[in-house]
Amino acid sequence: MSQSHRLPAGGRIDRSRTIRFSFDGRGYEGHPGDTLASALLANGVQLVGRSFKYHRPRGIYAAGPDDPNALVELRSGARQEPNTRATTAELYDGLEATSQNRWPSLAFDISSVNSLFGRFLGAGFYYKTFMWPASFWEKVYEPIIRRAAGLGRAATSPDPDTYESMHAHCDVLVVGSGAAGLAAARAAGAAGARVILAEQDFELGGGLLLDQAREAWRRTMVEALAAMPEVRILPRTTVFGFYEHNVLGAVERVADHLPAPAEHDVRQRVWTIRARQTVLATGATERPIAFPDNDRPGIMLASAAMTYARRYGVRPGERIAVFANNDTAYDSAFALHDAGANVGIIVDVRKNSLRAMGAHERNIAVRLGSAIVGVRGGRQVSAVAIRARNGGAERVIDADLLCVSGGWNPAVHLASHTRARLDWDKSIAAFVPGTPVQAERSAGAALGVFGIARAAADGARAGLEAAAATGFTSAPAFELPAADGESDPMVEAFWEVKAKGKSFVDLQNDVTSDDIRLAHREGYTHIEHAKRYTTHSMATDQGKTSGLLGVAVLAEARGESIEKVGVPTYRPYVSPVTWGALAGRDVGHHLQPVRRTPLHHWHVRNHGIFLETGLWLRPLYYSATRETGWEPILKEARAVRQAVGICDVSTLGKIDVQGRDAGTFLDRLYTNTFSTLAVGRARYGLMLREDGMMFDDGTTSRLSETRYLMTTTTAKAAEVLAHMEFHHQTVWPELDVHYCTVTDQWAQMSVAGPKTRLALQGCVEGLDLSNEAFPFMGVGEATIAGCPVRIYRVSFSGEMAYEVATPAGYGERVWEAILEAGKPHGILPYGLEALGLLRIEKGHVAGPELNGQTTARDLGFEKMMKKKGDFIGRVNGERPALMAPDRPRLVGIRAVDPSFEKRLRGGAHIVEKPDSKASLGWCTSITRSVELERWLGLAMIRQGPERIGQRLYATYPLKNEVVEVEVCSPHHVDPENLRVRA
Amino acid sequence: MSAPERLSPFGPGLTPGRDGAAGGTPVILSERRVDIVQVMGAEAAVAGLALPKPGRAEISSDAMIVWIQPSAWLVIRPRGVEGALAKSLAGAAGTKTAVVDQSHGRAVLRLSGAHARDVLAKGCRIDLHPRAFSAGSAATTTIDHITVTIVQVDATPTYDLVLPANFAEAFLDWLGMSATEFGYEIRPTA
Repeated sequence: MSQSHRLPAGGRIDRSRTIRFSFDGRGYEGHPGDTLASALLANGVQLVGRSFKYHRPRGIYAAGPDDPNALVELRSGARQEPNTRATTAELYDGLEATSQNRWPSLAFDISSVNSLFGRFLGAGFYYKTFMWPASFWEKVYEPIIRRAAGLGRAATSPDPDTYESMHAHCDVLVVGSGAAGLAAARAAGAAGARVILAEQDFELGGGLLLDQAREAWRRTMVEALAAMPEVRILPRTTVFGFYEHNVLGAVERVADHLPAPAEHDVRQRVWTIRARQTVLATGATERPIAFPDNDRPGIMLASAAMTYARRYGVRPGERIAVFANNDTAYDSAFALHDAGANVGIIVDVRKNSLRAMGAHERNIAVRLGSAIVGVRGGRQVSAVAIRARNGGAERVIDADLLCVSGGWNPAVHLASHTRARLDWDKSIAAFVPGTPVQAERSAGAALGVFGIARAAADGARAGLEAAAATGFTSAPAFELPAADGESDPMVEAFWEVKAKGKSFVDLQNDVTSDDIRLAHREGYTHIEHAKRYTTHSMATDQGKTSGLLGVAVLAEARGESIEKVGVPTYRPYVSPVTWGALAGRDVGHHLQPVRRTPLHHWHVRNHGIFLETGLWLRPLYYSATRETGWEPILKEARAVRQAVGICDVSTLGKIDVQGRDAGTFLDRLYTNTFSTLAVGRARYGLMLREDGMMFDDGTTSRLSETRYLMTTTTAKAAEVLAHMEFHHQTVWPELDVHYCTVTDQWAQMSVAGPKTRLALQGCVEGLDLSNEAFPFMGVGEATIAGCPVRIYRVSFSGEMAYEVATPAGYGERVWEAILEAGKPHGILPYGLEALGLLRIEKGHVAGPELNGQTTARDLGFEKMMKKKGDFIGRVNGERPALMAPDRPRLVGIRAVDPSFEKRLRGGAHIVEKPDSKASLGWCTSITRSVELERWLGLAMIRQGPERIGQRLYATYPLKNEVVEVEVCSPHHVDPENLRVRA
Repeated sequence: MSAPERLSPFGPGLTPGRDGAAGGTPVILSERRVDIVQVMGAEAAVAGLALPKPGRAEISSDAMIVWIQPSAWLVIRPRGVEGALAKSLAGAAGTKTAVVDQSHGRAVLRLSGAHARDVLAKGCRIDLHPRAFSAGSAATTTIDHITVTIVQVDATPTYDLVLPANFAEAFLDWLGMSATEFGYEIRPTA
């Protein structure tokens, strides 16, 4: 029968519409306003999952995000989502849910035999058992443990939905929309503050949703808030963390209640909220009492049972028993009775109750001074066993639902994130937030102030205080609900019924009170140790319901107060948040922004094969057929060695340096001197870090008496600018110098090869490019195709070369004009691979040599260390170890075999004999050479320069490769540097 | 001879048209065709220019001067002869003032509409609420890891976003994703 447990009337569900859904393949019906849990209960389904370790049958235990049991897999295919709480999943038409951690079926689960061996699976079982042999860890133990434990299965294909982040600012953030939260938000909003009200539920009201008598007030409050332009209401939004500087994180479940997000909409949104003040009106969570088999389906928190009856119009059981140590459980019992359920008995550990009279009026039996000592039934409770606390016979009473209440824990998690101390409140036997550390205050039940009327008044107080703290001091008053005989939350602290059997203190991680005592016996007496040893309160619910029970058991074992033992530190996230939400839009190539050169689209149109280098996309080489291998690279490199090539070098860092002291500044940054550089000339410079290691290199040109243009390597551009800012601001603020990046301003191209001058003479106007008029390291201005260009005669390839820079917007036009002019001379565009090949042949250092561990001396630059004047890195660079003669130093290496049979590899070790185990150094860069037609490279070798001419071996044991090499000068090509001056 | 037309750093992504959700009030995007010159110096002075205080922009009908960081401003004017703005500012600048042409190194995207603020909030950590940021306010921050100078032009709100040219396309990519919820309309370059 459909919805057999639905009450005939009542609840906040929309009975005019019926929703179809399935659980474990079986179809059911529910109504809008239901959660998956309420709809399952309405259909008489209690058993929803198997427990983590013992595979014990588990039912719906709570009615909100605190539920430890009701974790299901939601949806299917790419949207399959494990470990979703049925108690918070909103029902939608077509919802598919599957139970987890069971095989072959939920009702019959083979691994539940674990339960029989429970005495061997106690705390620390895995640590003690799966110790040896170590070779079994990965191959045997881990797969077994992973199959047996674990919860749901994640989807195996990419998530089709999108997620995003959002930043928000407000004067007052109110977390929670119960009576306290609504009153706080309204008070702050009425005062004129910018308010954000975040509520994890899909309906605002918290406990008010169970209180028909105060529905009018709730509605008035919600309407008043909705009408305030500076109040933003975020339903379905869980504030999951309270971080430093009043930054809070929240996740908004934008479309979880729909089969799929609407087009152009996201699934979830993570909010980063910067709040000047925060009011934590997060309410309280009911906690259970531990007793044998207290995890059976059919055992539920008393408030949850009331919630199902009042909010969802569901009768969660037919024959109900209640077990409590406080009066609020009576309210739940009465609510269930008044909703038409059969409440047979209330078992109260206390000697008396102010509510006992109310029970008698409803014909509900009350057994004071008694406790539940056990339950009957495996997959569903069928009866409960009761015994007086002072002894006597056990009495068994039929019941299919046992409602438990051990009191209430204020939801202190967010307050605890701020590092506010938690204080023990004896009257409610629970921790409450202590003196705030950040700009926050708790209100209502979260502060231990219970009852709608009292919480509302407390919330209004907190809202006014928070608004006043942000400068909004006058607020019009509004009506607050009157007190109406709410139960006193006073409890008699009672944590565990000591009787034979498994009494769980953590249902999700299957931790029993005996596990806690075992941890204590084995020396894990600190709560943080006991927690980790037993995994108590470490599950996805973080022990929201029963965490304090474990603390109480430990406190008793230690013979100390709970206050002294304390609770484990609460940390974000208050409730689990999906990775998808945290990643937001930063997935795939959106992880980082793509940086494109001004010539990017030319490369795309002309078959550039791209490589990501840092954020940049750079053409590796060009190939219309997308061929791989060396051929296209060698072709481009040969064009440069034999004719002319053009390469996009716009990625080089460019820094404009101006001011009277610009030369002095550069003299201190570089190891060599720039103040003596003539206007219109460029010079190669070396920069060291403070510790004396090589930092960067590049050419710097003097554009006028007071203006230089620095170039840096592509990789270090931002670091060099930061290095300059740091030293200028902190060390030499007196220097009259200004600088900024102009990397983006210029498209820059290197035109190189013996026919470069001929090619450029065909397009450059206004500059004599002859060697006499424009020698090596000259800088001049001209135009190409009507566009202004600056030309630098510098070379990275070792050939005659000119770098042409033009304002970025003209990049393509200038590039194409040069290609056109170079066509008769055989010009080819070349990419990063050919660029690297050419620089290795020439022996120029780059990233693999400038690896942060090499000094200028190591790389053969000792002559570039000026004799006079200080520079950054001078002193530290002369430390004895860095001057040691046996340091690896830069040399060239060449394969002795001129064929390409045996290749060199970057990272290969250089050794004396083929089978030698003693490394002399390593190979930093390698390439096939177009000049020497063999493999060659650069290497860092001990006493490298002294070994020039020796035959050594490059060994790469990972691939069993040994190649005989000859040590040589790093300058494989034109060591006299004649070509660049041609 | 005047230089030829510049290629837009926004690439092919800034083709006029409408995208994203239909029906609502779209945000409006367009590239601004401008020259941009950076002026630097703790004692910077340029004859005829009032350099605004930190966090502010001086906006007039044909020019905008934006504070971007301590001792640095951007002067933004409708596009003129290549290099002319930098040359004229350098001529009017005091001895302790550096002038750098960034006309090609920066791109300016104009974003306006009722949802412009919501779109920016998806990546911008700065509070753009009218009580905190209004016409004439300017701030440099990062959005999607990209340095962006945000200048509020009017109360619509309309914002001018000054971007590094090499990241212009990447920013547009982010902006399209962020605006798709509201829909967006790309207007011709102004």
